[in-house]
Amino acid sequence: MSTHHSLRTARALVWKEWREQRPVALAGLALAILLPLILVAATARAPRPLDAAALAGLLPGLYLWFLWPLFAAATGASTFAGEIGDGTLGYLLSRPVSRPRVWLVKVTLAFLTSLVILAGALVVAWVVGLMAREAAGSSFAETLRVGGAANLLVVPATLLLFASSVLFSTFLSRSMNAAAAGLAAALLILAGLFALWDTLGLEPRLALTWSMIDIALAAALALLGSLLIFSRGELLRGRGMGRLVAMAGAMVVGGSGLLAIPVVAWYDQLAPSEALALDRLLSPAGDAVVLTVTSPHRQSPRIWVAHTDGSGLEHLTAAGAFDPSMAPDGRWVAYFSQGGVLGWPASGLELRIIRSDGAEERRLATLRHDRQSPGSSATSFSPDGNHIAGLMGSSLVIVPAAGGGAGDAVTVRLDDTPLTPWQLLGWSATRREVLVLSSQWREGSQSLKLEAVDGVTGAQRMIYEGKRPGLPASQRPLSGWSRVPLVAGGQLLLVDVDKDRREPIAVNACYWSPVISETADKIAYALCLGEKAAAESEIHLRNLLTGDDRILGTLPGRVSGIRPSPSWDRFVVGLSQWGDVDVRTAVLLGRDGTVRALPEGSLALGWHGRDHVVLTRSGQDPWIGLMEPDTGETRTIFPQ
Amino acid sequence: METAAIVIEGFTKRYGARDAVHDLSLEVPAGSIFGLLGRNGAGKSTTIKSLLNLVRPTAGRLQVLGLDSAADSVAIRGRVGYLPEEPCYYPWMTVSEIVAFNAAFYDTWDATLAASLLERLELPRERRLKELSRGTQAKVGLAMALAPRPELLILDDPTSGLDPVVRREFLEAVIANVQAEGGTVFFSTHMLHEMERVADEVAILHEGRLRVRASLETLKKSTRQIRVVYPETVPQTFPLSGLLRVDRNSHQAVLTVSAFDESMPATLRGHGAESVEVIDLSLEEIFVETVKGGA
Repeated sequence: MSTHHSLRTARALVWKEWREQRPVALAGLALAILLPLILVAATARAPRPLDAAALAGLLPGLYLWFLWPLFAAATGASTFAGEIGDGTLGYLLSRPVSRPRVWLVKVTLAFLTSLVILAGALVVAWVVGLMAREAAGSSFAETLRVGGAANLLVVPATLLLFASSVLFSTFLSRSMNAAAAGLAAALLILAGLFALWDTLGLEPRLALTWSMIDIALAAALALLGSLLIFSRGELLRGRGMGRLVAMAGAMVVGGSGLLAIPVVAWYDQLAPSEALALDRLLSPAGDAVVLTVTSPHRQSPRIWVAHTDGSGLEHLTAAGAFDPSMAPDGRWVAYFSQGGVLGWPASGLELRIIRSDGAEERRLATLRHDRQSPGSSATSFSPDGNHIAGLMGSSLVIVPAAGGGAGDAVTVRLDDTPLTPWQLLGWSATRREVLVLSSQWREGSQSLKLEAVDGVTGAQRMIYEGKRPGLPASQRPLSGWSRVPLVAGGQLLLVDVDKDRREPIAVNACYWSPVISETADKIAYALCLGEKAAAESEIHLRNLLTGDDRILGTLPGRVSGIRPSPSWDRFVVGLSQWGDVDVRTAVLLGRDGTVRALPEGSLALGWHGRDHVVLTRSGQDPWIGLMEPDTGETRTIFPQ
Repeated sequence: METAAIVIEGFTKRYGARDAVHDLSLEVPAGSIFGLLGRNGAGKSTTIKSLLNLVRPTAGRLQVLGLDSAADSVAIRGRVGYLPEEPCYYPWMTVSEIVAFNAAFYDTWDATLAASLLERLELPRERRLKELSRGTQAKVGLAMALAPRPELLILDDPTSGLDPVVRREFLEAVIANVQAEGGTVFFSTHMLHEMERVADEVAILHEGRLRVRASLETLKKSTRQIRVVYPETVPQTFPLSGLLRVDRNSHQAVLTVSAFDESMPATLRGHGAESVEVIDLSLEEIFVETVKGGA
């Protein structure tokens, strides 16, 4: 067959396909144009009618996530089904043209038609965005950018929907049936892939690229199945439906599972830069680091455990878990879970508890999502390990660790009007109270409020309210606060949470990062020196029983945190600023004044026994390791 | 030396547990007009579609114009004009558009011939196909099948459902084409008297099996009826080979034979027949006798 003849044949097929897809394209473009008008008209009498800016923000996502997939399914489903139904496919296949060529032209034209609709719709969205920009400063590009990674994921997802519809269109004689079956199969495949990723614990390190590749491979498999059926089938009259549907379903689902095998095989080869480690938490015994690992896009967080003896790294929870805290005995981990099925977000956040070996897991309470008061979130065990507090935004729940009925949970709505967000400091030492702290920059200064919430009644008690505080305590939620060190109004205060009493430790200076011992008998803090309040920092250690205050050493720059060793004889001091330069480094300061630099960029998580500092490095190259303080030797425990 | 346009060897097509065609072997000589006869469901369309690889054989080998029907189906379809029983055209196309669309698939497409066929068959070029009658659509199909100047024309019962006038026009167009172009025609039809007018050779398929394959002349000579009158009662047996069927009453019997020879009347007289009359059969009668009797 000559090249000229091949081109002529291809041109004829393209012409025919376009003539058949043209009404679909026109319908799609008409819907894209009418949709803004319909939305405006539909909301005209609503209390808050849709204005131009809101419309401009809504349209790109609507077109990308609704209109395009809808018409991709429609064009995919009509690729063959309609022609099987009316018999014209049989006529076409009796012409001297190969079936793969017919398949290629039909499938390509069908997908291009969906792209034409998408392009036209995005032009409409762009024009609406231009019009809205005059009114509200919105723009088309900004709106699309907000979608970020999700907008990328819609591409393979739509391709999968299209391919699945094409597959069913190959042997069903009605387009509507093919579209419905294609949609069901595509959702099944996506659910299967998510379940597989979830089962294998891949999501935290499964970057968006991998997800896209896996979904795109499933789409390619569906297209391949369609090509095989089309090329090797007979007249494709839609006969033997049950058997064909079962075959296609098995092929799609089974094939998708097979597709994930390469991902599993390459899993160990994924670079650490493809994951982010958050919420790193050292167990009370110092034998494990509990951390939240998520993809660079902060999707599908999952709690992992890295053993400090280097014996292993394993995931502890399903996807959607974060904010871990450990029981005082280290046997249980409390955390928040997004819940839902297969990692799909549920309507509320669940407070869960899981044994640190993963053997048992319980749901303790559910907190409704509160979009009005977003803020920090944290979980914390009571000193006796019998209760757990969970804070999300302004909602605080306190629940028995052993579970129980809904009546056992105490839910408190914290005041969120003037001072947000709230931080969960932890539990008081002697009472069953949860300490929460709220701070906010207001007109150049910071307000601060420290409250205690009764774990049984939910009653709130104000402990301290200051109008000019410095930095609040920055420790993780702890169990057993009896005194909370606060920096406020140029003073370093020690607030006694049981006696509603505050005690100034030092006045008229600038202080950073106070840290108090669990027995509340010692406090370490940094005193700023120099005219610029960060030129140098003097590290102090004060005995709260005797009042003895001694200077451990002077370090250049601003102190971001102090981590004492279990015996308080050495201190890891984090530095966040060196003169005018932002830095993230830490040094090891001995009680005798000796200073040893820690690896560049490292922060201290805490101490592993008396001998090792647990270090961490975040950012695009997350790392957790142990350092021997005397020699400076390090050993990596994450990633492994 | 004359070669076969179509060679079918041991062709079987099975659907589930049923054989639509069973172990069919057949040769269609090049240059002949070959008629394939059979009742509905006899396996005619299955055989024809298998020749074009539109249906895949369960067993056997099919060759068309010296090419393998499975491996070279595109090349075969490029050299064959095919008109299915119920051609399903794109209803939105006009006659001119379907002509242009078809032309793109054939190297041998003769635009002048296509134009002349449209003219001769009085086809409205600008009318959409969905607006045309069944008969006019069949004529469009015939024009599409003839315009590439095929070496082999395969017609799968193309005149069923057409009125007699259109049927005659249709057949005249086929005959005119054969007279002008030569080539081979392989066709199936229910209209046996029309096949009788044009066919050189015929084959009869019954329930997927080949019953008869012969030239029309030989078939008509060999398949005849003999009316025999006896003075007494009609005997139970007759000393004839190829006896398809016997209809009898007290003194008379009508014997249908598939292997008639001129000695049969004398043989019957020698066995007591008072009078013997040989009756020629039409193709339709031969077909009926063949599928009713046990060949």
